[in-house]
Amino acid sequence: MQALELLHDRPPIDMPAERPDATATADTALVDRHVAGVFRFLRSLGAGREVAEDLTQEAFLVAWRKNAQRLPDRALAAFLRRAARLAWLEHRRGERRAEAAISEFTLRLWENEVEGDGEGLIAAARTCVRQLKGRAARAIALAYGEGQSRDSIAAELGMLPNGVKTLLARTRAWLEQCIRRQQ
Amino acid sequence: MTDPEQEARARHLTATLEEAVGGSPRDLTNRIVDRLAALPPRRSRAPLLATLCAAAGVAVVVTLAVAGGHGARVPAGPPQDPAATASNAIPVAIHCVDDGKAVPLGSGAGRGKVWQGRRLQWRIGDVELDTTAKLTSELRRLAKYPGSFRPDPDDDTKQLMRPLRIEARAGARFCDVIATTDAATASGFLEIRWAGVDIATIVPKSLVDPAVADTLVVPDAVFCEPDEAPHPRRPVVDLHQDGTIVHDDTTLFPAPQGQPGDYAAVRSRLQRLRADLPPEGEVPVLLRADRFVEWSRVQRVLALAHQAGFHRLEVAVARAGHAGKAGEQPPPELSRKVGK
Repeated sequence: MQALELLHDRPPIDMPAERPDATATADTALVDRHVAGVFRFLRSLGAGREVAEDLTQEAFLVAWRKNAQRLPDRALAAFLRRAARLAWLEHRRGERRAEAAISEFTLRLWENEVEGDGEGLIAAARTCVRQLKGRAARAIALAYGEGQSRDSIAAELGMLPNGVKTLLARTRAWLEQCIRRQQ
Repeated sequence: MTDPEQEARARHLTATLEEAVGGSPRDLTNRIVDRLAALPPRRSRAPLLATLCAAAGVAVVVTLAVAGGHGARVPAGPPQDPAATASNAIPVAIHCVDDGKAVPLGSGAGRGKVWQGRRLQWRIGDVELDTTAKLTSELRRLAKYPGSFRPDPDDDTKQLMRPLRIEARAGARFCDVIATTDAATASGFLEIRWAGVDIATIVPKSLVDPAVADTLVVPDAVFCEPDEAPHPRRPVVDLHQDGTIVHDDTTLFPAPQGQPGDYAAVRSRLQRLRADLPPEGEVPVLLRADRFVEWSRVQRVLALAHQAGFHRLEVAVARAGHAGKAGEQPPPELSRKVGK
């Protein structure tokens, strides 16, 4: 009987305890330093904007649960990328094998070719995009800025969808080279 | 160069261009910090909980005012900093285990879909639950647990129930959050927060006709208020199943097609609407969102409305069943005496 009462008294779940305000402030600064890099890494993996936002949050939760926030900045960034990759593979578990191979390259790419949180890369891309003119500029703005389909871009530019496909492919290849030159 | 490497580089370039042209997320840091604050730093023990809660104080971030046909209503709380108060809350996570199969409603383009065979899992601490019945049962148990209460800062002899915080993970849809909110309300929780939505008051309002459009059918909810005598100048924003955002027959955000979208038009419209309203008073904005729209889209519109200056929001629902059944009635009192 006594044993039953003791059992009944146990907490039904792990209840969250309090975190002092100072911790929250420190968290904000730390999260702010790493959030863009994790989000961009997830977008590089192929995650849509909403999914990338959700999985970025998951990656930070995993890191904090493992006390990884105490790691030096570079180590924490690497930890967060690995946590984000696992969250992405879980999200894409139906295509896990293919995604594992692709994401392995993305991880290497980020560790070997991307500086910091990727802000320099974005700045280089903006510089290159500003150099575009005419239909190429408009097509890139519609495709990457507004997420419009090839058909709707074609309608807006007065082109055939296949023409838009070629225009986007050529512009994209030029942008890739331009971004490399900028870095 | 192998195919996976080509694919990895292609995705990387796409992501870079999309951010360079389309912009970066703005409030992600706050959402993460908000969720980190709710993490349990260690396993706590029941006798310590009341003391720990008292140390953090009490604040309402989101109050779901519930009527459910009983006339009971939780008073609205003032806007608060969620980071300072989130640690009070008991987190309930919604995970989408299987999104099921999308089945078109009727035929032709532009028709809505229903998702059949969806499977969810709720996590409360280490407890995993796979049906709403089990969720409600666990929440009811939790609602009676002493650690779910904190001392009333205004009255040492009373205790207040801790808020419940619903954290919808990737894949969750609007109807999942509403169903979880209903389960929490039916279990007796009085303050229910939606993670990432830092708004003082959100009220579910029941529409007479749940089908606003082919691609916009609002979710069912047990606990809601009839949408009677709304403010004549209350703005109504529609969020369709495909993500399209419409106000006053104007599409502010077109359906995204796998690319990031620009919410500038939504933001500026909401700011203009708020600026046109009287500076004092609490004119709400009503969001009519499709039941199957991704929760992250609802979260984004609510956040944009809040950023525009709306501190009182209403979400449209359809009245499900009736709320007068025994066990589904929200508790009439907002506090309980110590020792009872």
